[in-house]
Parts: sequence; C-alpha cells; structure tokens
Amino acid sequence: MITLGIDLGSNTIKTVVLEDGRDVLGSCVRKSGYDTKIITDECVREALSQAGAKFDDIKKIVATGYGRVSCDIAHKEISEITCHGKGAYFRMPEARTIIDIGGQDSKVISLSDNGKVIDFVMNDKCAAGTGRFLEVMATALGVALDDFGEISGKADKMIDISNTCTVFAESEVISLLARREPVENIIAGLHKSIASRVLALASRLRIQEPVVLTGGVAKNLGIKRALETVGKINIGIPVSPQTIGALGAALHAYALTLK
Amino acid sequence: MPKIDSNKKLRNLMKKYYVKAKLGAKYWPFTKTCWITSGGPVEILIAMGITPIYPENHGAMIGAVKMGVELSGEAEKLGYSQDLCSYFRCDVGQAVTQKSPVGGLPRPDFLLCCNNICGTVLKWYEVQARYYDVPLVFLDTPYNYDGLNDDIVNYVKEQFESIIPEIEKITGRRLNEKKTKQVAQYANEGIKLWNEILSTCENVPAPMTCFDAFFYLAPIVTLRGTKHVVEYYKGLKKELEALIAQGKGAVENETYRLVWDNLPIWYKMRRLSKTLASYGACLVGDTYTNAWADNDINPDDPFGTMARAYASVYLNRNVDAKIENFTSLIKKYKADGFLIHSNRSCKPYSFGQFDIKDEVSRRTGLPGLIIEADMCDTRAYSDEQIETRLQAFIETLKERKEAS
Amino acid sequence: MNAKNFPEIVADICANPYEQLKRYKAAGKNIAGYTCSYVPEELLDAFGYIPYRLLGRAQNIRQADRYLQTYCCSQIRSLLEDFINDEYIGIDAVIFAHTCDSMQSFHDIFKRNNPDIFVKNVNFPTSINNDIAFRYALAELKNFAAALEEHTGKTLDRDALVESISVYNLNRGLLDKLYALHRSYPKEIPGVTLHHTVVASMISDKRDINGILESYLGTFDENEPEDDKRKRLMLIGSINISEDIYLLADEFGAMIADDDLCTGRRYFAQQVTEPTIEGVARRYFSRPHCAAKHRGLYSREHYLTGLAGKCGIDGAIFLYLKFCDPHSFDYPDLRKGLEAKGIPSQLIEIEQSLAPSGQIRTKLQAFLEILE
Repeated sequence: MITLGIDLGSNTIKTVVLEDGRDVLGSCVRKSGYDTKIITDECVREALSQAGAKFDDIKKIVATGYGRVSCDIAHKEISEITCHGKGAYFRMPEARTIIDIGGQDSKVISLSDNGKVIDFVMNDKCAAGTGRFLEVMATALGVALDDFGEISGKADKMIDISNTCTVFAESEVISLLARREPVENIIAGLHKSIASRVLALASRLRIQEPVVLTGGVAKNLGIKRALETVGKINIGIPVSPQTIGALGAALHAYALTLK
Repeated sequence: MPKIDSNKKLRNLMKKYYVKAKLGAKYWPFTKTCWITSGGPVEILIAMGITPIYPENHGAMIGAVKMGVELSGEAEKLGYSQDLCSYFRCDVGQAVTQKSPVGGLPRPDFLLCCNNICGTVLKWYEVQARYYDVPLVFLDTPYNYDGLNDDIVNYVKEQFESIIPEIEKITGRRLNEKKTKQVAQYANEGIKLWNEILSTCENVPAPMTCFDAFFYLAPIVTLRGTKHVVEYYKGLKKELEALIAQGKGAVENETYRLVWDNLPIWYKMRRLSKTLASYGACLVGDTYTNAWADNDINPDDPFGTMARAYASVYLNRNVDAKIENFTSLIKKYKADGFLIHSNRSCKPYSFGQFDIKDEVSRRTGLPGLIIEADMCDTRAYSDEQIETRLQAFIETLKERKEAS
Repeated sequence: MNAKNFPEIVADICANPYEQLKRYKAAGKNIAGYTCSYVPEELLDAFGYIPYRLLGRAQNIRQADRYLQTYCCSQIRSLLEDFINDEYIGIDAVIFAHTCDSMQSFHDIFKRNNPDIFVKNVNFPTSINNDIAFRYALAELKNFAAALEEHTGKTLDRDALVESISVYNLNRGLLDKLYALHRSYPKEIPGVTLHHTVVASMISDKRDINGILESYLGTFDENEPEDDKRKRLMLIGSINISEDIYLLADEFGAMIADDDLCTGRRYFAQQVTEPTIEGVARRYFSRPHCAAKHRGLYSREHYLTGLAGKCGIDGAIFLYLKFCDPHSFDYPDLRKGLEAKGIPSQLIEIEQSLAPSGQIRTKLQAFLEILE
C-alpha cells in the first residue's frame, strides 16, 4: 500500500512515497518558488516516478510544514513537530532528542522510548538560531550558504560572535571582515553562535541522548560540529535528514489507512 | 581612575564584607543573612546585626567581569526570558551554579524586598524565595505618580511597624531603639559624605569620573548605617580634595563635561572610559550614584522619616521629577552635554528617556545622546554602533565649543 | 436585537472598537478610557462616564517609537500609536492603575504629552494580601473619587454607586455563566464568543450588553449538554486581543475551557459583595490577581491548579505577550507547578504589532497532537 507525505517548508518542499509504512520508494526535495502548488505537483510526480507508482495508487496523503494548510490534495494535515518525531524515530529508533533547524523556525523535540513526542520548544520571534540567521550572514560574507560546511571545516578557531541579534551580528561580521579575520573562522563562529542559541532552547527540555539533527541544515557539517563542541554531546544524522518531516507525514498517512 | 589609597581600601573593604558574609553564613550558626534590594531599608538589618547581601551589587560584579552571558544562560535554560532584567538572570545563574567573582552568594535566611526602585525586584525576590524556600518580607512603596502624599507615607510607615516584628520572628533578634538611632546617625553621615564626594566633581577639572563613582558607590549601598562606611568615605573625600588642591583632573585635558543617566554598562566600563578620555570627555555626574545621596533620616523619628525617604527615592518619582533632577545635575556640574543609557534590563529607569532627553535639552540648551545597551548582557551591546555614535556626539560638542 | 445573533453582535463590536466609541460619543456620553482591570469601573460609571477599556490595536508601530523604546511591550506601544493616530478622539479621560513598570512609565509619558485630557492614576498597592494594604487601597479609591468629584463638579451619589455596582455584578455573573455554558456547548458557543463578549463588555455600557447576553444564555438548556469529548485548554497570560488562538483551538477540535487573562476571567471574576467603595476595594483583594500584584509566593500557582482541576483542563497555554515582565517571571515556576499536577503546557509568544505567525498554528497543533 502506497502513502505520500508532503512537507511544505518555508524554503523547500519535500515529498516521500512510502510502501506499507516500511519502505521509502521515492523522495524529492525542491526549492519552493512563488507558486507552491506547481512545485508541490512536480515534487510529488518526481517521488512517484522514482517509486514507479501513479497518483491513483496513493491511499492516503498527509501534509506538514508551514504550507500544510493550503495543500488541497492532502487528506490530513499534521504539525511538523509530530512528523519530525515520527520520521526520526523510524530512521533512528534510539533517538530521544531531535534538533531541527529550519528556515524560519528551530525546534527541539523530546521523544519517549516508544517514539511519542513528550514535549517540544521552538525559537521565539527572532531570527537568531534559525536558518534565516545563516542566510543573512551568507549575504554579508558574500559566500554561498551551501559552502558554509566545507569552508568552516578549514577553521582553526571559532570566533566569538557576541551579538545574537541578527542586525548586530551582521555589523559584527562586517567589522570582523574589515579586520581581516579569515572567513572560515568567522563562519565557524557563526555556527557556534547558532549552536549556542539552539542548545539554550534545548536545555529548557531535559536533553537526552542520543540527539539527532534533522532538516536541511543537517547537510552543513559545520553546524553538527558546533553543536557537538558547544553542547559536549554526540549528534547523529539520519539518512536523508531533509526529508524526515515528509517521511513522518507518509508514516502518519499509513497509520490513517489502518484506522 | 585616580591613583589613590582609597581604591585598594575599597577592594579590601568589599572583600572583607563578602568573605565575612560567606564564612559567617556557612560556619557560624548564629549568623542571619538577608538578601535585600538596593533601595531597601538596610538600617533595620544593620541595627539587628543581620548580614545584608545585595544581589544587585553582586550582579554588577558579575557584569564587570563579563560573566553575565554565562550566568544569564543558566536562567534562560530554566525558561526565563532573555528579555528579563539581567541582574535577575545573573542571580538565578549564580544560585544554580555557585559561580561568580566571589563564588556565589551565601544562602539567605530571608529576603527583604522594597519595590521603590522597580516592580521587577518583587518578581525576582518571589522567584528566589521559592527557590531557597525562605520567607519574603515585602515593603510596598507606591510610585509617586502625583508626588508623595500622606497616604503613601502612612502606608509605608505602617508597614515598617509590621515588618519589624516579622523580621524579629524570622530571626529571633530584637530591634532596639538605641541601636536604631545610632545606625540612623551613621547612615545620615555616610549619605552626607557620599553627597560631598560626588560634589567634588563640580570642580574643573573633576578629580574623578563617574566610572570611579560607580566603583566607590558599593559601600553606601551595601554597608550604609555602619561606621566602616563613614570612615572609608572620610578617607576618600580627603584624597579627592587633595587631588583638587593639586589641580589634578581624572581625565587629561578635560574638555567636555558630561552627565550620565541610568546604570553603568558594567562590562564596558574600561573601554568606554578610555574612549571618552581619548576625546577629553569626562563623566562628571550621574543620576544613578546620586540616588543614594539624598536620603535623610531623623534619628528621633527613624520610621516616619524612613517611610518618607524610602517612598520617594529617585526611581520612585515620576518622569517630571526625573527631568527636574537631571536638569539640576547638569547645572550643578557645569556639563556640556549628557549621555543617556537606554538599558534593556531596566524598563522603569529607561522608559521616559525620550521625553527626558527632549525636555532636558530644551531647558539647558545642551545636546544629549541616547545609547541602547544593557547593564550586564553583552549580547545587547555593539561596539561598532555605540562608538560611532559617541564619536559623532563628541564632534557636535566640538563644533559647539568652537562656535561659542 | 435577536438573542440568536448575539455572537455576531459582540464580534462586530470587537471588530470595530473605535466605532463603538464614536457611537457613544454621538449619543452625548462621556467616555473614560482605562488601561487596566484594576481601575474601578463602577466609580467611573457612577460619575456618568462610560468606562472604555483601552487595548492597543495598531499593527504598524512607527510614531510611538518617538516616545517608547522597542523593548516596551507591544500593548503599550500599540495603544500609544492609536492615540497618535487619533483613533481615540473624543475620549474625555484616561485612567491608569498601578501595575507594572512599563505601564507606570507610560502613564508619565502619556500625561506629559496629553495636557488636554484628564489623566489620573489609581495608585493601587502592589500588596493585596494584608489589612494595611487594604486601608491604603481604600484611601486611594477615595482619593480617586475625590479627584473625579473635583474634575466633574459632581458629588459621588451613593444610589448611583449602588446601581452601578449591581449592573457590573450582573455583567460579571453573566460572563461567568457564559464560560460555564461554553464548556457544555462548545459547538454552539464557540470559544471566540467568550473572547468577544468579554472585550465587548469592556468597551460598552454594561447595560447595553447585559440584556442581550442574558437572553442569549437563556436559549441554552443547562440539562442537555452537547456530547463532546474535546480536549480542554486553559489560557494563561496578560492581555490578548487576538482571536487566533480561539479560532485555531476550534479548528483543531479543542476547547478553550477557561483562562487566567486580563482580557478574560480576571476581568469579571468575583462580585462586589457590599455596594460601597469598601466593597469595590475588597473585590480586588479577593479576585484572581495579575502577576504584577503580590499575594504571597504561591497564590497564582494554587489558583491555577485549582482552576484547572475544576474545569478538567488537559493542557495549558501560556500566552506570553513579549516584554510583559511580570508574567514572564512567573512562567517557569507556574509551568512546573502545573506539570506536578499532571497538566502539560506550551508557551506561545504573542505580539500586538505582528501578524500571527504560522508558529502559533504549529505549536498549538503539535501540543494537541501530544495530548491525544
């Protein structure tokens, strides 16, 4: 039986096609553009073609992420918190804490032994500690965000970025550049800043290891390193971290078929 | 900072105070320790032989050694917002970790909170009273919206009459009248000396700056009502007068005399002091240290006069009164301009500053600059932003001087 | 007016608060704006004013930045913006009451900059748990009455006060009943109607609301509650003027079963039991209190766990108005206290001047998914 999960995030749209609540047959990640509907359709088609399935084969569809409300093909919408919990637990059943750094929101989720979400926290109304913070800094530095992980790997130290306010931090970064601080050290410092902020959020819950990092930011190994250094914890990254939310949605869709 | 013996003496005095308070609380079973707000009636505690501890003074120390972010972080972990007063956050942090320049504060036997400086201290002390599971004694001093009236004074006086038995019950100590009179006398003498010390800056050039005054302030806040304060300030006053006699100014080539509003930015004291000195600018007076310079207690009616004094401290007066006060400080110190610290941690001190700036400028004809920062949390401070503003401000002062 | 239409009537009043003001003004009434639920409305009413709760609504705050820093709560900043935008033209008096540091400063700023409006602060004590404070509160209410006498040239009429108090008591009783009925009829009385009715009561002559509210409540048969197994939520916080949380709860099939909000139960809880100024003062000493007031170390925790037990609450939502310090201070210990009683909670940060973000939806939905 085929189910579909769609995660409509603020930056990207992700889809996962799942068979019998067990096997991922296809998945897709696309940048979300001005027309969410068209890109969602493309994303669904791509995942289906990988799976060798047709739209009519799909038994249930669950949507999650910011755009979930406007997804009219979904049978149900579920919050991304629950979906990340389900998806991460499916990939790594040992996981007890999930950190997800998204474009607008960062969240930390505690899971019980049987994979139920016990509690969660999200960032407050401030870009510090979210993907947006890194985007702003990438522009200030003139470096592509996708290269952050690799560049920061060359850093010999993490510079202290004292300001968490995005506007202040931006001017701080600019003055660091003016002082000819190496870009890799600045980026490592930015990773540290975001990691501290997210860990501060996490500490409002009882952090239990193992901790896993999901979401697009997990591709940036610099963030993983910073979280590990600052938090003195080990961070696991599941297979295909970016589609964990969509996977959770597909899993939920499967559960719906059993009702 | 002027090179005088008083600096070392103060370090010793404060060290002795903290060591004694900590050791006493830990090893001497008869010691009674009370945490008290900076605007609280410490005279009662001194007269009863109770050790007063000032978390706000401790917060300033934490800020000055740049431990603010680390300790605030501990409070934020517990769910306290980063928007709350940084003294409070540091205090929670030190309670949880026992980390600070003095290794954390001694455990209180009770807390004494007076809300004449802000409503924030009450919420802070409620949190700590629950944390330590100790009684909270609260003295409610209504804000002087329309000035001080008899109802407020009676209300505060009646509370004095009820909190004293409350403290006696908690500590098993009695407050005796003779001792109270003596403490009131010392307190008055200390306050008078502190006023005279601050007034030495009327001299051109000023023998010290506010950065020094922020440091010399500790005794009048923490040990008011004791002989030590009186002795210490007598020595300090003598040394400052000697500097005046020698014609020595705290800032070389003192050119611009400025008055400061709000708490210091503790973690930037050295840097700001250097920056200002490099322009020949001297902070000659401020509203913060002056807040402890005008209480007057009559030893024959200590509670009546204390009620009046505590209910009308600087921060408990309305914006119009603050404007009056600020204007008179500027005149008293013959200032050329003023700096206003908009302090994210201190809302009642900071809201109203835009009105204050406009009105004080109008009345004195002098320019002012508002800088936004925080007293302990370095995350709310941007060197680049503030220093550019200061430089531009000094440039306008320069133009004014040249034009006149 | 038809009792059945009641939800639409109050929704309409809430959606057009300035129109309501203009209507009363056009009818020749005197309007006293007030900023806080510690302002004794009964006294204003007895002097012939319509007390009109001032709730900041401006979404784009620009001009208020001339007077207040951005780290002041958006309620106060929006309210100031509203005044600068002349939304409250025609208001005859603005009455404050002592609560938090920000409101205290706002009073001073407002008074300085509005010399043409009668501005008065009721200097209510912070302590509300002892006789000394009560005596002071009473003296202060009498001072307030005297100031009104001086300003209006009228003397306080005892019969008028008795009548005002009975009108207010009726309103409070009806609001209390509305909350209770909502728990029995969550479909027919949506949560948002609670919010609308409280806010509409705050900005109307109670006499205009009481009648239709009473007939509306009369259309429900208390003995035949809906069979509904909704999750019951409780809101905790200071001021909330947004409908979103109510609409979302409804959308997700949950119920806002009760609250501890200044724009909710705190406004109408407890009756004035003696029709005098003493009675008015006494009510403030017994009703659930704002975090800016002091009634011992555990009063709010005990009250909230009690309320949660009484209403069968499944989860609590802390609606934290950013920069509202008193409530922010209480949050961690209250969360722990509720947790100890088996009541989970979530913190949702709100700001007047920002359109609600998708985050509120996500948080509420995820929280309800956990409660399932």
